[in-house]
Amino acid sequence: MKDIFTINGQRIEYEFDETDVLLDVLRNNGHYEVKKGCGEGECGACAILLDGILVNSCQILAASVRGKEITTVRGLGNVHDPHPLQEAFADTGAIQCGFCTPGMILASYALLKENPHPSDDEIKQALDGNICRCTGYVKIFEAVRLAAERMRKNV
Amino acid sequence: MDWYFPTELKEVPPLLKKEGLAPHGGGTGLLRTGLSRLKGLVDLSGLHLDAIEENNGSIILGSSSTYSMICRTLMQKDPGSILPKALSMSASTPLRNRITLGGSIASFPIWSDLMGPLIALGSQVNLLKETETKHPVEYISGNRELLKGSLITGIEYKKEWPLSWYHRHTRVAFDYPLFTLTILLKIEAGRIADSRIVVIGTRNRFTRIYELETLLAGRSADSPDPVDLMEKMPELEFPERKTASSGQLNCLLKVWLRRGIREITGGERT
Repeated sequence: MKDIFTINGQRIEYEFDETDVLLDVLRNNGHYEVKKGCGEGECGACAILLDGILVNSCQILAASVRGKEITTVRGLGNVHDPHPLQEAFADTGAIQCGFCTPGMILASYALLKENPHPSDDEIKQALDGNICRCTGYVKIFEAVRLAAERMRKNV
Repeated sequence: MDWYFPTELKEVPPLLKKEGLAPHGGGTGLLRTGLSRLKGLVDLSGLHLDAIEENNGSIILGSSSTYSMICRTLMQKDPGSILPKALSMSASTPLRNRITLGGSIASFPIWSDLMGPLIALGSQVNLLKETETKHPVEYISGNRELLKGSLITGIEYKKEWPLSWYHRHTRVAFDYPLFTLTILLKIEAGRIADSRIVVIGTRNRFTRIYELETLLAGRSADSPDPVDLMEKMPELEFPERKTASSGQLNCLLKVWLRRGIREITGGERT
């Protein structure tokens, strides 16, 4: 089947199987920034924003996302114009192997959009679906706090 | 596999009559149970079944409401509600953003954080087949054949339980629970006027502890003395697990029942 997807603001038509999950459709079409981890919705490596809401793309049937906006980490910023969260993750060394980073950044983005002053517990809860296999959570929390502070100052 | 995208509710019953078609509300359950047995999916996203409303003292939740939507909205509409307490402990943020009410009622997994509160609240499930019908969620749980060819359009419950307490018993926070415990209480003139106590995870999936509810009725809310109540409470039957026997789980349940009753009557909201 074919459908039109809106990814990071761009409308594009992809062909896919009726039972394909969104993660596979994205990766099969070059969106390697969406990582394939557990495939069961447990690790958060494949996280994206669907209409601004954090979801695991491995748990979504591609055929069901018609008309919705998809944002991957590439949609937040790039190396020439990074988002404050991307900068904060790099500045605090919260990247390590980098595999969980896209999901972590999107989960943090979804949090800070709703709550610019998150407590440590709120950060912990917002990132509860993202697993870091390098166990670098301390620096990741530091990055979220730093980004929140920078984003508040820029407002 | 075929996809159907109805835009009106009346289009759904004829579709669900067809062999091998299942409703897809946007949750995660179908991927877990497998798609290979299905011939088609009826996508519900065009039906706007995600409304959460208050009407005449009742809360009405659309079946496509996600756990996150329910938590966020009920914090405003029904601040003492058990549902945000229970559902905010379930799964993880991205999964709570997808798991739907309807899918959770239809699948009723033994680790459900939803069904205990719904049973305790005396919720009614709205089903659409040829006509619309309402059934207590407790009844649906024991009569799963009712769901065949039907669409769950939502649930409703009376907003009448301001005191609530929930415990999800896990070994570690992100694990599936060995059991969940829901306690609802009404206190009038310093005495326990009514209660609902539901355990999910027993051999029959759930047990409402009527005996304890009867024993609690009329007790002073200042000192309900749950210790002696625990001695009179029946032993529940849990499935044998590698991690805990039925006997162990009964002991743990009694500990949490005592804590729950103590906290809820002490006015502590947890």
